[in-house]
Amino acid sequence: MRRWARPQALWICAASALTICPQAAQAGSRFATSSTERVEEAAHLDFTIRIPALIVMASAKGPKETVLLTPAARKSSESPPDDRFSVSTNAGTLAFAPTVTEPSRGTAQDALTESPVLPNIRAYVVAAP
Amino acid sequence: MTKKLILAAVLTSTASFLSTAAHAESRFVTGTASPLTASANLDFTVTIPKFVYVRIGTGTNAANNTNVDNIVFTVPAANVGDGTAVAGTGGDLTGGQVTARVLGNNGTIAFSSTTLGPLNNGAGDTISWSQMNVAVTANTTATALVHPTLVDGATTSVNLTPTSGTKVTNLDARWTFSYRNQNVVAAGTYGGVNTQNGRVTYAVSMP
Repeated sequence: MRRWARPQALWICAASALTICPQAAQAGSRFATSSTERVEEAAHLDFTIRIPALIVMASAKGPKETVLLTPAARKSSESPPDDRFSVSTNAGTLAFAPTVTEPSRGTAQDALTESPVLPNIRAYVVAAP
Repeated sequence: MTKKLILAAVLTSTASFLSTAAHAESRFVTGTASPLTASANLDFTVTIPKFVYVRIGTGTNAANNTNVDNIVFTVPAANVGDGTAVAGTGGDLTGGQVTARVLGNNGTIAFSSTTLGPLNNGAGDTISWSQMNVAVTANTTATALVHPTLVDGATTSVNLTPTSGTKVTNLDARWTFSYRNQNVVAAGTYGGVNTQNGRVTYAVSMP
């Protein structure tokens, strides 16, 4: 007589109605009619991180300035001659405009690439969106 | 003859059964013995249902509570991305701290955390969950409930070994969250109340 493995016997019993397979019915702890034998629950937690919009202006000789931006904020900074100057922001594209008080010997782009500040440029105005 | 014996036996046993059933569990004893004793029996049945319970933050013991806490981190302008950890606000224990508890009575519990992805600000910028630090300290149980590591867009799971016998697990802890702030990131509000991947799901699964 062929001996069935238990799972196969249970499957056959299910297909032919449990009433004729008393062994499968009694093995209810293994033959669960519910598909959710495991008990599961879940809880949740929310997280929010707020990063401010700001501009950081720094020169080698002067102090580092951090400005918290508002939608209409602008910042002007005066940099002494022969200085290296950098500007950074986390709020998008910067609008950068030097205020030239005297005829300059170069362009504002030189300042953005950290070239020595031209002595005729006395103030820089930057703004971010 | 045989039939008579069988019938007599059946009648005798039936009479004994009926006699016992009619008096339920009571005994009446008389006689000259000293001491004279009588006894009766009483059966007890205690049914314990299978259950599992998980609490993260505000909750009610052994009951559902729909309140979801929101841990909020506001980074000072002067510290954006400089590595200075930022403490949170909110949580049932305040200050970015929550009560965490798992309770179950049917064997090893799989305890997991799931995120839908890195936190985002709705403008294409993201902050990885690796920037979220969790400090675990003991609460009421001798062993603190561990925190499953937070991974962007994935589930991590740990098995909680029963703390009493082979079936009962009772663990809790205080989890304190802080933002590592190790990167300069774009301005904006990342995550939120069930938005922008700000929600973490903590799940338990028990046999």
